[in-house]
Amino acid sequence: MNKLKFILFLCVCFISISLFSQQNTGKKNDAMILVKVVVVDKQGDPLPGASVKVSGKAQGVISDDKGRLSLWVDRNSLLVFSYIGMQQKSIKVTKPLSGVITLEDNVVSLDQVVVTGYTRTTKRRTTGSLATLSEKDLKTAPMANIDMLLQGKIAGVDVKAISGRPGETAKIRIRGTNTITGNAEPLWVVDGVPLQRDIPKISSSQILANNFNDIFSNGIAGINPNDIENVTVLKDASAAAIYGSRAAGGVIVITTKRGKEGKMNISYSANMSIVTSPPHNADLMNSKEKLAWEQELWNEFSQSHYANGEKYPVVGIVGMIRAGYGKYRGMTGTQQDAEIANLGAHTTDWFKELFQNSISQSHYLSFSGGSNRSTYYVSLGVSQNNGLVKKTNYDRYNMSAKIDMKPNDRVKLGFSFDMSMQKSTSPSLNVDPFQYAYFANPYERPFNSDGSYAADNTYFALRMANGAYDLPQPPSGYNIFREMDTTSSKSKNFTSSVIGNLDIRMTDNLSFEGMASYGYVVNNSDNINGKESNAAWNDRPFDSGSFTSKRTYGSIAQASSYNTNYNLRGQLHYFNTFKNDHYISVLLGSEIRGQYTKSIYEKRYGYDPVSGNSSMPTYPENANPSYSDLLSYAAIMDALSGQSISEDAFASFYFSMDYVFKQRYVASLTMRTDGSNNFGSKEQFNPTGSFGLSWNIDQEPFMKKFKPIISSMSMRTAFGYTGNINKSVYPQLVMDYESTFRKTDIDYYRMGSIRNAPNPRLRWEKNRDMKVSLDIGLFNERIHVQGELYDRRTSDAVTTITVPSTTGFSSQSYNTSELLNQGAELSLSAHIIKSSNWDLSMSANLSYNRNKLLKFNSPSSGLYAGNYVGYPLGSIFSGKMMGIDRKLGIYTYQARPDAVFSTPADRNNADNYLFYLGTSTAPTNGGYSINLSYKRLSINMGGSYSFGGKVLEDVSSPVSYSSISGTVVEPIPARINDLYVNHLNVSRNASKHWTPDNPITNGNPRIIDAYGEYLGLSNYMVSSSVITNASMMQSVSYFKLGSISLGYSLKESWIKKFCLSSLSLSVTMNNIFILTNYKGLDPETPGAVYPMARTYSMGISIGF
Amino acid sequence: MKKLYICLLIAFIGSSCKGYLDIKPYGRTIPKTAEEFSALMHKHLDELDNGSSNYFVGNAQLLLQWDVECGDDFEACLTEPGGNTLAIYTGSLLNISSASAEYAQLYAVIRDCNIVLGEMKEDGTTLSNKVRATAYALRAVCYYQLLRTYCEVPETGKFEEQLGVPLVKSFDMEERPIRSSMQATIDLIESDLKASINYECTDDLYRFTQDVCKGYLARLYFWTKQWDKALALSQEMLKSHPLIDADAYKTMMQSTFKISGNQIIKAYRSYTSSTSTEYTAAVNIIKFRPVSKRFINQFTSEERTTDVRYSIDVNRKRQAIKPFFCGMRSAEFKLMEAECYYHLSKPDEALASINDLRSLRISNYKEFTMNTLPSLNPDEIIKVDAEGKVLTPLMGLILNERRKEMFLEGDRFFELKRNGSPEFWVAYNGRKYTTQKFMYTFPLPATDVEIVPGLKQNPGYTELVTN
Repeated sequence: MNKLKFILFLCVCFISISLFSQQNTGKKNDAMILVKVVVVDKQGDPLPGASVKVSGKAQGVISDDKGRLSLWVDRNSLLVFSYIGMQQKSIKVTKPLSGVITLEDNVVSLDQVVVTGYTRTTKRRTTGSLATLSEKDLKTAPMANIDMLLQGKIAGVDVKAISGRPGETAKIRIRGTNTITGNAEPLWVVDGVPLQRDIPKISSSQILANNFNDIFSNGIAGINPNDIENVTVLKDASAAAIYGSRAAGGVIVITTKRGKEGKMNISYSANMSIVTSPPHNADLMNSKEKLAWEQELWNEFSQSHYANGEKYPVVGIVGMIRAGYGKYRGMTGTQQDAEIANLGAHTTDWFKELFQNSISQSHYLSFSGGSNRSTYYVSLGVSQNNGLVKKTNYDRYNMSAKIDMKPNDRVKLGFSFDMSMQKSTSPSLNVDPFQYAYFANPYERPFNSDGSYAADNTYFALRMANGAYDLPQPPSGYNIFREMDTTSSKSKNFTSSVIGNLDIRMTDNLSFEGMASYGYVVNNSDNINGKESNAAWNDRPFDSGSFTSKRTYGSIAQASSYNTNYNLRGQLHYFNTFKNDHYISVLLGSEIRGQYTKSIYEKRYGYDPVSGNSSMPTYPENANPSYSDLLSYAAIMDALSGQSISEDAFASFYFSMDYVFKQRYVASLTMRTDGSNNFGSKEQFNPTGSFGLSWNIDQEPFMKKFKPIISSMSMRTAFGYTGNINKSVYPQLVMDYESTFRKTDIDYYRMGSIRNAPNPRLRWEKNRDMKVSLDIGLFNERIHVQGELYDRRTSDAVTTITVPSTTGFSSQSYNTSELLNQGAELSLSAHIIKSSNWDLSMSANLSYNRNKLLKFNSPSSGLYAGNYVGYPLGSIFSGKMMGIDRKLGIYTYQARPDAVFSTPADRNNADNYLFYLGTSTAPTNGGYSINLSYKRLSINMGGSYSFGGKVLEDVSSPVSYSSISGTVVEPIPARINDLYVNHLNVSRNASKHWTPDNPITNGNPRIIDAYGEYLGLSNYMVSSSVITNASMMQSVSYFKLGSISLGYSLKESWIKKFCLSSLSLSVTMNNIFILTNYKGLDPETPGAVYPMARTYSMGISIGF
Repeated sequence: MKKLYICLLIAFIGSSCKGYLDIKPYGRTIPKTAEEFSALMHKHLDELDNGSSNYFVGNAQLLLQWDVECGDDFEACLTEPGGNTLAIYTGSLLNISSASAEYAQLYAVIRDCNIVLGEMKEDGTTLSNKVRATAYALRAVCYYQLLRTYCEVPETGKFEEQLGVPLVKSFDMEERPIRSSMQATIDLIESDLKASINYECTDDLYRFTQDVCKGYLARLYFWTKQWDKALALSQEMLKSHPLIDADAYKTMMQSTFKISGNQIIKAYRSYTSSTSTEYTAAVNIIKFRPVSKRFINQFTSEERTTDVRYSIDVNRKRQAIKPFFCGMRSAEFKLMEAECYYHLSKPDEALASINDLRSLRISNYKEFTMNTLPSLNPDEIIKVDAEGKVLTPLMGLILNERRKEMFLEGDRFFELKRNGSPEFWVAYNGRKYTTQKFMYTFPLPATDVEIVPGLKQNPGYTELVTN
């Protein structure tokens, strides 16, 4: 923090110096003339706050509340008048200027500049499908990271949060998923440099999955959204083919802000957010309801058996009390009732206990300006996010500096220097807190009356209470708050990068463009399991499998990783216009890029957080370790530290050509070949390419007469190939060395294994992409409609096929599968009202993607992980529920029309009930936004929606009949029928269920004790979970209001007194409401995961 | 001239790219030298040493399967609740995943042996010889296990008609072999073992030394009823690894991890924490299923005090307490000798062998003569011998002795299989579970049968139910 202050101080010094240097500009002499004008709009209303700048100089003023402005300027200088929402007007002054300057309304600029990372071009000259978001579009959620800011804003870009944990990366799919086993994420490109900030994965037998915090493993979160000028998404092959083999999942190009000519512009913005519980809740039982329900189950299933001294089930605390388990031994009936009544007096809402209202804040400060020879941009950002869950937070610090120079007319130089530091802290829990919040019984308490941690008597008690053996709990019992307080997982990431750009205009039409970048990432993570925690209790390698040892020791796992990456690019760019009608632009270039990453990790048991030292435990005194024990001790030691290294290199050559004829017909051709170091590959270079055509119909002479209505109209079509490299498989016989050695008392020997079946015919995955699109602008671009159809076929997709066991492998990766993504996208934007006071604009987008597996060799008979020919990836096959059978009390399922039933086995056979029910990847997605402004007040609303997604609710209870080992007497058809899940909390409607005495069919089905009575239900109905899972299926369609923000910008004349050029205030609310049928917390992140919080933010933004 | 420059430039770029992209990955290699290939063998030898996922010699979990779940030495119906995870009888193990796990894992070891034998070019060096000897031996041992588990009992004179297992002798992902004849399987095992023996590997580091290979060859001959060959080799083994007396025997059998006495190969010589957990789990769970009365009755009331084996096998709660031994030791060859003599119609020599063995196990032992042979035990479910003949008191004695000697060493199930594969049932939770004859031969993996045209499944496994 001190460092940051120091940097801030330096910057402030820097500003004051530059301010001082500007003060001697207003001198008046003969060469200077006076400009005194009133700036008005078309209606003649004055425009207060309109600005005038002298081109090429750091000089300019702003009009007062009557639209008046005056300044002295050099004779023959060029003045640029501008006002937000109006067209700029440039006037060359040769004599004193006075009177009225009328500014025209801004029409959406037709020739929007787009940045593809390799070139800058205009939208009208491209054939690809690309969409651009400007800085303004990214203001909807002040605390979000860049990936979540893209949600719902671009047709065909499906952004879904994985969880609401601060700093978490979202899942992004551009026009569907087009690989089965490879990486389907898009490529991120920042200022022309593809992100390569991978941190290697760590694996060791002593390092547990939750020991390391890999939240920063892909580097996207380090980008400060405030620094972004615009984001361009390249959706099809024509746009993305220039990125070659990594572009199969689409490309997201981020361009950051750079300095602009003119006097120094200082802007500061700050935001304060309150994070609160999510808008939806899970409908769970309270203490009274749960206890009553447990009593009901005891009466139904246990009481008579208990009375007769037979085997009986123990469910919930009521079961434990009635059965006299543990500390309840020997209680009389009245004591039992009193104990139960006492428990019922209090309900713990575990979500409330776990969730906190927290305050987050962010600050951003930037300076920019420059002369016609050089410009600069410096920014600082701080963002501190406190999570919804206690003890989770995420902080980000950014600094960025950019200098652009034009030493002469032919050379342009640019340097960018970026630094970001991110910190994430959370408890390191071995029990998922959301699962715990769902299932912990409401009568359990987080704390005892004396403030000490209360042990949870039921969460881990099912096995023991029902007579099975289990590893004991720590002496003080389990408590989630103790876990939160005594464990921690911290991760710190420092990223720095330097980018240099060189642009040399060799002739008027030919230029050389070079770029070099170097990045360095350091990632450190600490994971501490305090001595008293359950996490430490379960991680005791020297007492594993011991039922008697009560010894406890904590641990610390630390990892330190670094990544260095570079990218070098050189390209020749030729462009020329011939005979007025022919425009040609050719790009020829090559690039190399690579990254090297290394991680070092260690874990120490017996960690003492006070001194930072550790005391490694040994075998207990009386253990009498044998030689083998010593070996296994050494094996534990060996696995406590290690390293992981990976290295990548790519070399590429590319060529692209655009040809435009009469501004009407555009043809573009892109070719690229990438070579990689993918181990042992013979097909190292993979050519990809695309060809596209575009027709700007409005430029045709016959369209002239429609011009007042149709202001623009373009049709584009393109065809291309992109590739995807699947790095999980090798073509050759590759032996991996094990991380452990074979040991004898004198030496140790390397061990190796062949992990993947080699496949010499392994190729790159290929995507063939075709699209046709139509863009229409109406009424001077007041309404803009874009429609697009695409067809993308992935061939040679790598999937595993089953090979006979005699090969020594069970499966092998082959380029066997084919995948289809077809879809339609529609974007609409309309500027509905536009008057001097009122302004209303709306935009919406909708996309539909049909994903279908065309060819697939299932590695096993039956259904394989939702992949089935003719159906989408992630398809869900299960039964069609027909309701509860009145006689049997269980769900019945619709039989397939082709099913034959001749034996009871047929009635139980899952194949006879299997139907396709939907897909977990929602095919229809989109978003909307509405902006309304009145004078200086504006309201923006926006959100996203998703339709057609299904999910098999995976909030599965941590307990079930299978928690208790035993021979199942009556198979349990579905989880909802299982008696033992009621040991922990269940949803409110669980108690309304079928019983033989009360055979209702409009509630839940019957409850079955798997170890109780034999009912023979499987002779009548299917009991396979493949079918009965259907009862857990939920629709995750939703319509979400993502954000509402209210902004007000103060009148310039008021703020001028405070030497400010602008001041605006805003209030934003995020995740306000969701319309959904989903029963859990958040349909976007179904299951027991960190939900998206509702946040309220206040912001202020000041310009100097 | 310009063209030349362009050509030179392209050539330069092309060549430098190759170098640029040629990054040697870390911890990963395309094996070439014997040293590199030895890593593949060490991996499996390590599995043997620490008793993890090792089907070729076995581990505690496998002994639980063969002896506690499949055999008849334990009483399923008396299983205490803690032993609920134990399978009830052989039939419980015949579902797709568990029955084919061994098959797939053994072929994965065979694959590594094939890679060593086929791809390793280095030849004639000490290391390459040892690695090759190990690969041959390991491959033979895997095929031997496959032969016992997945093929029917060999019938003398019908080896050409009986089915063996698919034979894979080189690494080839495209090969889709169908089952060979039993003769071909036997021939491959024999030739591999002989090839390994020819390298005269005696380095204990490689575990499968010459002696071990000879022992396996004896086992192969014995399983395939080639009594004369089995006899000769057993005697050779007994010469190099003589039997030891009762006290030494007790020490040897109770040394859980260290190889001692006349043990020739064994698992768990250097276990790690993960396998010790598994070992401890096996020791714990076996207590929940008592040893059967039928087994205990094999010992006469007098022998229960005099026979050293009784005291190390079970305690008074009828819990098995014998440390798991997975490997090979001399007593097996003594028993083979006796049975070979018997089938070669030399009953006196057979009886002498048994007396030899018993005298080393029982204190104050009084030798049996042909006239004092105990009568057949009516509870014994084996009613015929390996040749299909009705048991004689002498044959009954040999089998009975074998059952006691080899208790909890993974032998009983294969003894049942070899001697007439008798059908028997166990009771559990009020139901009767019958081990049928076909169950002695495990099914091939269902997926293999599905994707390899012409691959024959074993009889009895006709219907495939997928749920």
